[in-house]
This record gives sequence, C-alpha cells and structure tokens, in this order.
Amino acid sequence: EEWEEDETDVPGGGKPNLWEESWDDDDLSEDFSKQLKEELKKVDAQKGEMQR
Amino acid sequence: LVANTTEMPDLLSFRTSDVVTFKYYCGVIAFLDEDYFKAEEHLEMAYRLCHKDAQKNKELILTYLIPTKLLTRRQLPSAALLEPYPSLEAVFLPFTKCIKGGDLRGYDENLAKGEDWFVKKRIFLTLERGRDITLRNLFRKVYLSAGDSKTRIPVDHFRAAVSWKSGVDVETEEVECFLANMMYKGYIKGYISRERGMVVLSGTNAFPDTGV
Repeated sequence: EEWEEDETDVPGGGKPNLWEESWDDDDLSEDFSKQLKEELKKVDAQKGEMQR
Repeated sequence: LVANTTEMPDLLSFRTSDVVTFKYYCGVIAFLDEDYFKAEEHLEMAYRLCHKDAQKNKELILTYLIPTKLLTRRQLPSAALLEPYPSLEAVFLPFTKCIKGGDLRGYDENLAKGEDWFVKKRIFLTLERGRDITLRNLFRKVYLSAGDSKTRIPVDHFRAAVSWKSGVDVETEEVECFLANMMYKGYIKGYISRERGMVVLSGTNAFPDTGV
C-alpha cells in the first residue's frame, strides 16, 4: 500500500512536541524541600539513637 | 567478494507499507542487540512513515521506541503521545511520573507489576536500566532544593532522599556507591569528600544535559 506524507503523523506539523525531558518535572516545589527536611530529621534522629 | 547493503535497491522504490514493516523489524532487531542508537533511527523512521490510522502498528513501534529513547536521549513520551494508545498509556504513563519525580519505589513497583508483559515484549532489561534516570532525577532534586548554586551538599541529604523515595533505609556507604556510580556514568559532575561527608559538585553543569 502506498500513501503520502500528509497521511502520516509527522511530528512538527503544528503538533505539540511528543517527547519530553525525563527530568522536566514541574512539581519541584517547596513541598520537596520541606519533605526532604522532614526526612533529614528522621535520619538525624536515628543517628542520635545509634550513638546513645 | 563481500556483499553490502549499498547493493540493495533504494528504499523509496518500495511501497510505504513495506518500508514501515522493514524498518520496524530492523529497529526491533537492533533493540534486542542493544544497539539503541541504531534502533532509534529505524524505529523513528517507521513511526514517521506509518499511516496515521494504523493504530496497532504505531502501538507496536512505540512499544520499542519509548524504552529506546529513554536510554538514548533520556526522553519520555508526553501524555499527548500516549493518549491514543490506552494499553501503552496504562503501562508507560505511571513510569514517566516515577522517573520525573525520582520515585524509586514507584518505579520498582511498576516494573514488577508489568513484568510479565515487559518480559514477553523483551523490554524488561531496557526498562530496568531506566532506574538510573530516576535516581539521577532524585539527586538533581536534592541539589535544586539545597538552593541556588550550592555546590557542597552533605551525603546525608542524598541518603535521606533515597531512603524516603525507596522506602528502604539505606546505609551511607550504599548512597556513596550510588553517587560514585552516577559520577562515573557522567550523570553528575563532582566528587565525594568522605572525610567531610560531603558531595562537592561542579559549579557549572553539575547535572549535565538537564539545564543545571
């Protein structure tokens, strides 16, 4: 079977980019930093226990 | 006398449907040979030439093109790309979320959940390698959350992040090992100062190709 280019899904023809960067996460908000600090406290607490 | 591919007739002299099929199989074979750059080239061409109504064919091509691009370009399919293919969407969309979010546990769970299908399609091992990208993204987030251009970050911060996102308490040595691996693979530019328990990152381009 034969067909022309306009019968394919050629990316770029007004279509949004179909591939995105794997690190491109818009959720990088204060939430991550906040939660990381919480997790750090847990780590520190564990350390304290171990040293005791 | 050695025959080579230049003796083949020009691809354009064949029917488009045959070219798509040919390129698809060339791509899958290169994929299974772990020659991902070659696989990407073949599969991209197959995808580009594929008739827009040939849903099933495009789905087959994408089954291999998605894991391939994860390895060659660290790129993920957008929601718009997956939307027309519910079965691919169900499998790959959760993956993309985990990879972007540095969610190690989620990544492992999705890998385990889809294992049978991944093994059947022979994409399991390739996807397993994608875990590195998840870890890289998590470390990148730790770096970004430390604030503007901070180049010294305690190993403990990375350790806390890995423990949190993997749901397993990891040892400092283990995290140092992860970090060293990332540095070796060129995902992170910097070194570990063990005496100080610090990761010292490059002032520029500490996470190459990710804009920071």
